[in-house]
Amino acid sequence: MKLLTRSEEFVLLAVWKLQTDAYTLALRKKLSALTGYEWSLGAIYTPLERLTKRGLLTSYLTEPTPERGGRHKRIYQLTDTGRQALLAIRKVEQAMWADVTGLALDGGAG
Amino acid sequence: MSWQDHGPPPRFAAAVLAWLLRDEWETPLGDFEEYFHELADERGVRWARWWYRRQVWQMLPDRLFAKTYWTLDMLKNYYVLAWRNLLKSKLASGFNIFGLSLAVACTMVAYLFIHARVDNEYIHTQGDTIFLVGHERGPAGEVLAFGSSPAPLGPALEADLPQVVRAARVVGMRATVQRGDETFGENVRLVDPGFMEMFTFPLLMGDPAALRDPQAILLSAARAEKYFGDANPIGETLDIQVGDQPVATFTVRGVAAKPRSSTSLQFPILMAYANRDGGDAAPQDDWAQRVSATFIQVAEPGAVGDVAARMEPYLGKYQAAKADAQVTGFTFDNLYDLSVNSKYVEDTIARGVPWAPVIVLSIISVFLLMLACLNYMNISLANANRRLKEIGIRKVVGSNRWQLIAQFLAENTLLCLLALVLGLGLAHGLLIPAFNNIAGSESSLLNTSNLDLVLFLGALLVGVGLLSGAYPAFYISSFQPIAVFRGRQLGGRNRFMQSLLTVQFVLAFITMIVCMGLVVNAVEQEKRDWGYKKDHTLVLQLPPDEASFAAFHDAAQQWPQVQAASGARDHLGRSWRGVHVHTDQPEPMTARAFGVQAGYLGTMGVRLHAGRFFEDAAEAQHLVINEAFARWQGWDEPLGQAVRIDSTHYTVVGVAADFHYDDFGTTIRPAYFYLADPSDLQYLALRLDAGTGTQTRAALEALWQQHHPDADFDPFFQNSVFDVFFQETRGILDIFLFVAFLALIISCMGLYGLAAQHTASRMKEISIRKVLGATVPHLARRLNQRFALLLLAAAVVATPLSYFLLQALLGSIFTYHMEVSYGPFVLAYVLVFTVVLLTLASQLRLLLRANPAETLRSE
Repeated sequence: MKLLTRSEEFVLLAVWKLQTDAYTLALRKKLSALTGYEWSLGAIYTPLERLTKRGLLTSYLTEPTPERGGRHKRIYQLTDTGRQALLAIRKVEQAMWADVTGLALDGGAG
Repeated sequence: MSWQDHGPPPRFAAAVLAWLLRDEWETPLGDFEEYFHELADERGVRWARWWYRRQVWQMLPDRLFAKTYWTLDMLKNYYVLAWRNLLKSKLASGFNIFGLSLAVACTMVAYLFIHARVDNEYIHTQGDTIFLVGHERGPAGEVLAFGSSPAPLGPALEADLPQVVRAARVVGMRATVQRGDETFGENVRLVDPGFMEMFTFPLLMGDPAALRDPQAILLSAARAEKYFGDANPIGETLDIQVGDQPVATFTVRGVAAKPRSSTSLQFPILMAYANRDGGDAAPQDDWAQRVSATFIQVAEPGAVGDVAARMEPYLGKYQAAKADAQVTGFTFDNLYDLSVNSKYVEDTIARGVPWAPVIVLSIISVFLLMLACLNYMNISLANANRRLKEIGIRKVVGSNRWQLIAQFLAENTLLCLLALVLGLGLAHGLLIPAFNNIAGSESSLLNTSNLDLVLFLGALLVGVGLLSGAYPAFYISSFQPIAVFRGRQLGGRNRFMQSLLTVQFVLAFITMIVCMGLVVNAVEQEKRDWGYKKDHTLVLQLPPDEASFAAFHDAAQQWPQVQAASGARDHLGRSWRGVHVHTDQPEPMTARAFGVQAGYLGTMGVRLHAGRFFEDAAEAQHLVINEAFARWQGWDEPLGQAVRIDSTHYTVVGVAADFHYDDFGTTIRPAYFYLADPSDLQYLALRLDAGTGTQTRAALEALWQQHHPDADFDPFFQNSVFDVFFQETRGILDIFLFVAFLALIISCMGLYGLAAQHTASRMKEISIRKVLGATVPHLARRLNQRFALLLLAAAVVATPLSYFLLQALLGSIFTYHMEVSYGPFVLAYVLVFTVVLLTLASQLRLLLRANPAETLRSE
């Protein structure tokens, strides 16, 4: 499987974390909180679209709500492939970080 | 704060976003709105609104670019395909466009012709404020409108009424113009100085205000050339004798350009009104004296009502001066209405509208245009066959029906535009000059630069484009892609195209038959019996002088070639007087009076119906009437009837067979001959041996030089008196022939296009038949049978229609016309069938050359 970009990874992970509330604005909030910088809406649409295209995500529409001006919400969900992809990413991450010790990353010296 | 407190996001921005996002707008727009409320909570409503708006202009350039790019790309594709299709069927498209442009050109010519005739006065830019003051008179129940008016009225109105900006009187008079050794008879118009300010007659040179000087004259361009050639005429002089006044010298002070329409106010020579009645001391206050026309100009068109309400004092003066005329009131007619109304007004300066050619030309050009449009539709439909696959693909790729309709309408409108431009070019370069040549007119496309023409053109373009484009556009776009790709034949189309073709041929037949009918009629008119002998008769008009008349008469009788010579006061084809005659009927009747010498009827060859003609000069109490006279009186036995005219009593001694004293455009009404007083005789008619015309003319001229050396010698042959009338009919004849020819060409273009298409679409079938041994004649018959049937059906439908149309046209246009018989029909049928056969025969080439191996190999 092709590797995902970092933002795709984050969005995919955020969708998993938010479960049934995984729509654009909630995702934006979550990601902004986790990463510490403001994500724009556009920065979320694009990865969502790409992930959907690759079959890692599906989506469904909710009932319209008044605070959205009477419009639908699109809730995203991981497909099986999506879940596998997350697992694969975790494996790669762990493998990548496995033997890294005492780099004094926080201190910046070494 | 909850979301309701901020109000909705900016409406306009939301609408733009929805448009930009197109199909996928719902979710993002919801996101944006929710985020908007979130932002409003965090950073205030103003910030949120600013953010929302920013989304729009961040997105706009990109999206707009994409949209325009793809639209342009699509248009380019439309254009490329339209062009390819045009080239693919060069012949059909060529015919199509050419047919349309021919029809457009014809319509243009017809429009110009009609416009110049019906709107004689449109060249006068101030026309809406100019009114002709006429009057009405006659006994109760028989009041007639007259265009003339009392002479002092114009100046009085101008002086008394503030509403009248200016007034101008117009009087026409005969004049003799001397230039060097030569003299010419001319019609001059005497006008008030306001004339040139009121009417639009641009001067080529000189000063329009010059007419304030009674010794000044203005010339038309034609007269300036006649008298002075290319030299500058300004300041030159001419000696002119107006009416019977003494000769006076006039200075040319201006030359007027030739007017673009046949305005009623045209003049060869224009001079000041003061020259009437001897040049000075014209009786300014003689309300019994009339002028041909008094025009007034008011500040704005509505003001004429005010003027009309103040006519009481003038009416009183007029009635007092003309007590016997029973004048009932004054009338005001706008300049622009004069020509159209002229047939209801007696004695008017206005030129009438020649309704005959106007009606016929409008009908025929409408027919031609319809024909061309049908033809266009037909060929477009046939061409659509080849584009079925294109349409199918477009539909599959996602074109919706409206896009297809727009595509086809645009394509057709463009083609029509092309045809229009071509047609205008044709009209300007070819048809209008040709038409001017035939009809002797001076129409031009370029100098009718008015709004009318622009509107007319616009309407024409839109009409033709939509009419010819609509059907194919709506019809073709309804095809189902799946049916197209499977090659399933679509039912109904053929039948529709065939009925179009039939209608087209019905129109063509009608046009042909009517045109042929008019042509046959025109030919018969020339051969029509005038009711007397018109050939070999030379007529000379003499000054009314008893001694000189006797001298001419006596001399002419001595000449060997003169079979008969006789004089008259009024002459057939030239003049007559309307006179009230009283008979045994209670009401008097108006009859045309001809004062003649005893031998005149014999000299002119008028035919005797009953009784006898005058035998000698002593029969002053006797009358010879025409058949119409007896008919109108209801006399079974007209001979011996008593007739009173004024206070003289007459007895009818003879009845002449009806004869045409005016051209064939006028009905023969009651007329009578009486013996004129010798001092009134002014026409001398000479019946000659054939071939002695020139010789006699020379002899007469020698005599003329002795008696009237100063006057213009202008004899004429009797058979030329209706020349103007015949010229007109001959011109019209040529036009009809031309139009008939055009109608035929356009229809046959359509037929050819369809037949070619038909043959091409059946090439495989034909090839197989050929392989199996079918002969060319057999194939030709198979292919063309349907067209032949169609043509027959068209002929059957067209025959009664054109019979009625021809009958109605002839009846409404001509007073005397031929009986509608089979002649024009046979002529039209033979012509159409011949040309159609030739057209269809051109298919034979295709059949002969078709190589089965080649056709069958493809696909």
